[in-house]
Amino acid sequence: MGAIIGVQMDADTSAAVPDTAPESGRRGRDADFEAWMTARQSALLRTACLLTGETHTAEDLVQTTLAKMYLAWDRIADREHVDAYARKTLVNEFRSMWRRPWRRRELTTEVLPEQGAPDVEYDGLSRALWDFVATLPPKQRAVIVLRYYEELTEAETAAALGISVGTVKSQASRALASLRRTVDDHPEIGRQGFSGQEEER
Amino acid sequence: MSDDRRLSEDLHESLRRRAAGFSPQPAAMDQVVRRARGIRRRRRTAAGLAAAAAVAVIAVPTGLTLGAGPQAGTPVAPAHSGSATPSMPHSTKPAPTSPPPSSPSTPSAPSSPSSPATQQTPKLLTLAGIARGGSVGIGWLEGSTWHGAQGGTQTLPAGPYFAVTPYRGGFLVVQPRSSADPPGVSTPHLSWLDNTMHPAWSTCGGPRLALSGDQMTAAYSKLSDCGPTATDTLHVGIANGMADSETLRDVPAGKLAEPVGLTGQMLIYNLRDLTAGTQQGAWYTDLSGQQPAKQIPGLAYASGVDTSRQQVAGQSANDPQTGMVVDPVTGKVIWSRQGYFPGQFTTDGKYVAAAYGGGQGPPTQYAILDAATGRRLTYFDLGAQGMSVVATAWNPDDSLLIVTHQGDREAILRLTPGGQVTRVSDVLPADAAHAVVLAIRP
Repeated sequence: MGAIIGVQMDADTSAAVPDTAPESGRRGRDADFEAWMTARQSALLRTACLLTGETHTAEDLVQTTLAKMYLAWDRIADREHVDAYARKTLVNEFRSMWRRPWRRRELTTEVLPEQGAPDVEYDGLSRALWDFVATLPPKQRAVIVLRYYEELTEAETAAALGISVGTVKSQASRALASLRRTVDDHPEIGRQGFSGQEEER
Repeated sequence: MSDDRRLSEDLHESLRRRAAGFSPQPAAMDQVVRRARGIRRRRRTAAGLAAAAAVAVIAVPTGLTLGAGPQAGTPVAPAHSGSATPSMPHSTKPAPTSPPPSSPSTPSAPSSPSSPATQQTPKLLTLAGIARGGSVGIGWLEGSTWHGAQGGTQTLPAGPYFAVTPYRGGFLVVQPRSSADPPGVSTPHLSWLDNTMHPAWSTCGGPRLALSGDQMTAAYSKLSDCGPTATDTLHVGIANGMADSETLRDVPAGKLAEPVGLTGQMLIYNLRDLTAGTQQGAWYTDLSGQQPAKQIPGLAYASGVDTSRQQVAGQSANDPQTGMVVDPVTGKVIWSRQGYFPGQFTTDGKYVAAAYGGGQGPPTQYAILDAATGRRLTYFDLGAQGMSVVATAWNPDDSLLIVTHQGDREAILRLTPGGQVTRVSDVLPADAAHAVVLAIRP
């Protein structure tokens, strides 16, 4: 991925520029974008799967995110922050998706149109935790996915979601408290957890 | 570990496993470009409508479709205010044959860009497709050609080589056993090539070499011979001095010591059964060799040493899938992560490299972690690109060098803590004549 020339990066992808670029410049920019896209798409897809809970919507979400990144590519000056920019676009798109009227209607159905393939490693506590995450409203789920899967700091999570650090703290704290109650109420799911062995030392 | 910390780690692990269970299809470049064009058309339409509404000159057409925007190639409409995810005005409903590209409710519509019927095989990132950027700031071997950290090349005797480090005007090298070696131990060959590139000594020995943080001291494990009764000794030598190395300590019979790293006061090493090859724990010894060697509590084996904090990375003795960083003397766990395999630290102790992913198989992803907390800062999914990792080493600029195989090609990639991936070598044939070996780092 070569150098990226453009104006300062921000989160506004509304300006469309590619079709005004000279042909040779566009080819170079497309190659540059494609290299980045190919390297990072699988990571974006995994995050999107956790946000949406199923693969097809996640694919759709990521494709839209990539399209917006493509449109904004020339204006992203700071290569070190392209991934953060993509993550922000992905989460924005996810949240706006749930605000759309047709999406809210879909919430009334009981069965998701498609579920991810079951994971042989995935049962007990792991399933209980995921089942809990899947019940969270979109904004809180995004906080949990960014904090505990992407492992962003509170400040990075706040920046990605466009909310305050305090809101991130309160959302995460509430989610963890509910999660703790869920686990405590169901000792059969394995309270020892993944890290229990280390605690025994 | 506090309840909150444990719950956070359990949650991370649950999400990691869940994410690994999905199998989404990546989009191809032309699909993304098509969708981008659709978004651009809608933006132009929206901008036009907003302008029209503002001057109240015309009525908003209720039947406007997606294709009603300006022709491609016309000047770009001014950016409208709003979020990064502008949506269609309520009055601009798409025609039935043009579903919104982001609509998951129409996944199988023939005209949908993400329809399986029109899905194209996504292109893998190729080594050649990764742009050049940055440089290799350490020495490395390409076949038998040594590329110095400061430039310049030297030719070593014909390889292959497993490990190499500059040592006393020449090189300390680890190579496969030769057919001339007698049957006995299964360890590789260890040699010191002097400044004429001839072996001053050569014998069987441990496969690993270790360097102190200042790169002045090297440690290695040298067997008395290659036969079945060979005995092992740990050696420490001044890498740029003229005197021969000193024997640090004898290794118990039937065992092989594999140096991992040197701190100011101690050598960290793994002990292995010489014939069976099984791990016998991680150990440390003081550099005077006067004190008895001691086992590091809780570690199955060590894989990296933080010379600045004097901490050790490795895998848990209780769970080989759990990577951890510990205090070698007390065994106190600084942090641990299930599913991760931490390795080398940067010399400033800021970062530690770690492999992870791949379920029960070999790791497919490489990450840069915060060495103090274990927090993942960035990662690169090589498995998704059909790539595999041959070796890694830290560059002096705190970027991670990754020797990567893809098919019959090999190259050195550079991953920065900020997530930038570039290629720092030519794309080479993955054969013995070009095999890449990065110099040992502290």
